[in-house]
Amino acid sequence: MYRLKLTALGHPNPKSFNCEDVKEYRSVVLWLEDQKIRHYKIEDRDGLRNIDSDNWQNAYDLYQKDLVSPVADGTPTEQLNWLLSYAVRLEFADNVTKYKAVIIEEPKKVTPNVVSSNPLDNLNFSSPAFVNGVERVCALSGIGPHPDPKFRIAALAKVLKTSPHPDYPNTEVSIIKQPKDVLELIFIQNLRDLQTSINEALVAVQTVTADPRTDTKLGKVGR
Amino acid sequence: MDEELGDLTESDFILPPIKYEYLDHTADVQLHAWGDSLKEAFEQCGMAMFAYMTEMAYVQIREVHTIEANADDMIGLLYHFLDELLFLFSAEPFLICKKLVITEFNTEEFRIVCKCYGEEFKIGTHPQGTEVKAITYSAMQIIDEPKDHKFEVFVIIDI
Amino acid sequence: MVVRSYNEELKYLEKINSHCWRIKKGFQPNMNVEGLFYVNDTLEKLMLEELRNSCRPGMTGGFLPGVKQIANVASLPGIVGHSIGLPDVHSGYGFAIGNMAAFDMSDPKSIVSPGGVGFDINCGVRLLRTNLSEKDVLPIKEQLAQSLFDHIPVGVGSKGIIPMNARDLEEALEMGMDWSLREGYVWAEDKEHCEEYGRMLNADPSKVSLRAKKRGLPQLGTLGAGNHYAEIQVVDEIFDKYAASKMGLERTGQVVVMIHSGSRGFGHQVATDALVEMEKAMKRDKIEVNDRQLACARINSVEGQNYLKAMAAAANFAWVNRSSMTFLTRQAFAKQFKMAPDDLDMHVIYDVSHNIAKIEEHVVDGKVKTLLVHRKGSTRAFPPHHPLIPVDYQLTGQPVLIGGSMGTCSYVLTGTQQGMTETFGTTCHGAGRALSRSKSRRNIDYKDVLNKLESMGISIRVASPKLVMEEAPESYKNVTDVVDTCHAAGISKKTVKLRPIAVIKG
Repeated sequence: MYRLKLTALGHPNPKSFNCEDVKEYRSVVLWLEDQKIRHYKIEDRDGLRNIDSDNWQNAYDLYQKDLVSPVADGTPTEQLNWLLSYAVRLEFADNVTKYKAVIIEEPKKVTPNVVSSNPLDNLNFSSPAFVNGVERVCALSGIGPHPDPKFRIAALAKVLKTSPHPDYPNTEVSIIKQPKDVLELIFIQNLRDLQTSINEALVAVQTVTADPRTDTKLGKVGR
Repeated sequence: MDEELGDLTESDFILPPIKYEYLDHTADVQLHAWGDSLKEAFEQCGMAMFAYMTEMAYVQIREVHTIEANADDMIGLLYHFLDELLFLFSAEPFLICKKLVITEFNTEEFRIVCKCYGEEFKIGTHPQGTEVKAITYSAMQIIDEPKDHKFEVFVIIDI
Repeated sequence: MVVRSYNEELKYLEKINSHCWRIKKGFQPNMNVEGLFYVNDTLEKLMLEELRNSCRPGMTGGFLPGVKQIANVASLPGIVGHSIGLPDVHSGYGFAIGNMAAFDMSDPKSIVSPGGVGFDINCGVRLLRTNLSEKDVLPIKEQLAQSLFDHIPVGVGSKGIIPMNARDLEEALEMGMDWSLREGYVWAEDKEHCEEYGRMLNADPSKVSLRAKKRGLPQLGTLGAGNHYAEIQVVDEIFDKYAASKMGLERTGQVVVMIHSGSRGFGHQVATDALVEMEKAMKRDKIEVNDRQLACARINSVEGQNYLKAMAAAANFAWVNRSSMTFLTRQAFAKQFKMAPDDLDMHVIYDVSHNIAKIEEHVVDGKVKTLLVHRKGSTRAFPPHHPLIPVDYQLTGQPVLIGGSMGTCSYVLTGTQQGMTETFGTTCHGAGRALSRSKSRRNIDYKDVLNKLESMGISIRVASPKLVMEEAPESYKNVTDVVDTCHAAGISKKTVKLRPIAVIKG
């Protein structure tokens, strides 16, 4: 976990980092403060530096409060995730000109602008109705929290695609039915894309193999 | 195919009388054929099948082919005899037969050798009748009662 | 066989609702499950009349009545659910035509029966759409009908005009529509809209006799005779606007082409060969059945496996056959309208098989089971969201193509969830014969039929005039009765009604 962000920040061993290990977790927090965030003066970082101390947790809680972390009450993984993102933001802010110069090659858009008739494309993903709906369906299906409801619905789609659809009691039909329909539509859309790619591959092969012919000498047609 | 006529003698062009009819059946057709011997009833039954595929008046005798059928019993023999004839029509030489002469009719070892007289089926020359998909065992009957001089066969062909 | 009077026979039949009857155990000996059949008032009379006739003294020969055949199938080893008769049921070889029966693959005694598939393996219907309207076609209807007739070989003794040698045939048998695709006879999208994607993977050409291959080779790409046809039709009525639009059918008067054909002599020979083999296997495995025509073999036996592999090859043959005719149809239209087939939007809407046995998963008594489903003269009709139907039809359910008889309407239906549970996702296939062929020839005049078709505005090109009488609409059950029964019973849903304007026949 966190490999991308750690790599971006220049952490010495992003691949082997195990966030479940308390000691590793604490040392990464310290590393972030020492190298990247530098919110405290060096002498004020002792509470975080004593990673073997029982008081470390208190220091960490205070640290998060001082940083005004929105997930100070969240799980350790959420907390670390925010710290990492915060560090990345600071890093970017320090070197805006440098990072802005980086050009990511975007694939050329060949398809013309199509006015979508797919209702999903016009959905407002930040509307309270959508957020609440996602919250309800995630609670029922056991999908963990994430600030962006689109991420959660993507996770839910993955779960439902790979595991059998649960049976639900009739009383829950209305709660379940709507999001279920949405997911089915997403699934069908993905399947359509897959089928289209398959067809394109077949057509590509046909340009090499196809040579349809008829020979009316072989049989008699018409009159 | 005129060179094949070398194998044909004048008597080969003498046509037998018609001793068959088509009986009523929901989806398919039942062939009923008879004769002065069981051998003749078999021959007639084969000709009945061919006559269902085209109009015999348009068929000429230009070639002769020989087929052979073997089986474990008489019913099976009739079945395989007709199946061989159907195959003669369905693949090379695509023969439509006007006349059949069974030269060996072995009712102990259940073996038939038959000379088939006709020509290659050609659209344009021969009117297209009904296609025979398969011979069936359904309601197949062989009546072999020499003392009453009754020799008849009944076959349903799947069309 | 038990001899009972008609009234005694009726005691075994029970009408369970307005469109469905139950055949109770005991109607025929050794029934493992009950039978079901679907009828409306008109079809009910035909069905019972057939039974009554067979009860008359002195009735011999021919086939058993449809109800008796449905009951005999219910006595086959390993059958689950019901032996089901669809509304177009009529008596056939062993199994009735319009019969569905499923066998439990996990039961070692379960059987596969060539009679449950039929002689014309993977006989089926394909529907192509166009973006033309009836008014575009009417002025050149005769020329278009002639053009189709000039492109598609039809009738007994006809030979295909697509060059094929023995090796091509072997490959086609193994690859099915993938062969047509590779050779360029069809479009990539066509494959997507076929049952099984136009290819049965278990096909094994080495299990097919040389005889079948010899019969098959010259006939590939031919329409055949009998009830096979190619029809130019127009959309007459749309019942389900959404489902129709998913199929690209947007308005009445839109022109479509229906092709009804099968595996030709190849499939007939595969079936014949298997029946001979199975007669022997039945003696060896001591399988006893009510009717000798129900020749069958255990699914796991050598004969059973060989048949399934050869049948799959024949199914592939039929898909290549219909694909070749799709190619020829597109050429005929392209020439007449001087436009490329894709500019005419000549996509395959769907392609159904109505003579086939398939391994499928179904829920039986609350448990998922793998079944070998025989559909003879009946069509698969899977509901919305079934994984085996194309993505474009996930929301509508599988399109079911019901070809009418010559000069009558055809229908497009869609599969339903109710059908999935009641009939293992199966519905009717067409009109079903009501009159025997010779009766048709005696009672119906050739000229009358042609005049009647002309007065209905239907152009016809036919190789055999005799067929015109045998295939006259009067010889068949009314396809609208059949389709309405399936709709009312809920085993499939009416979507579109099609009306012919030109017919090409054998």
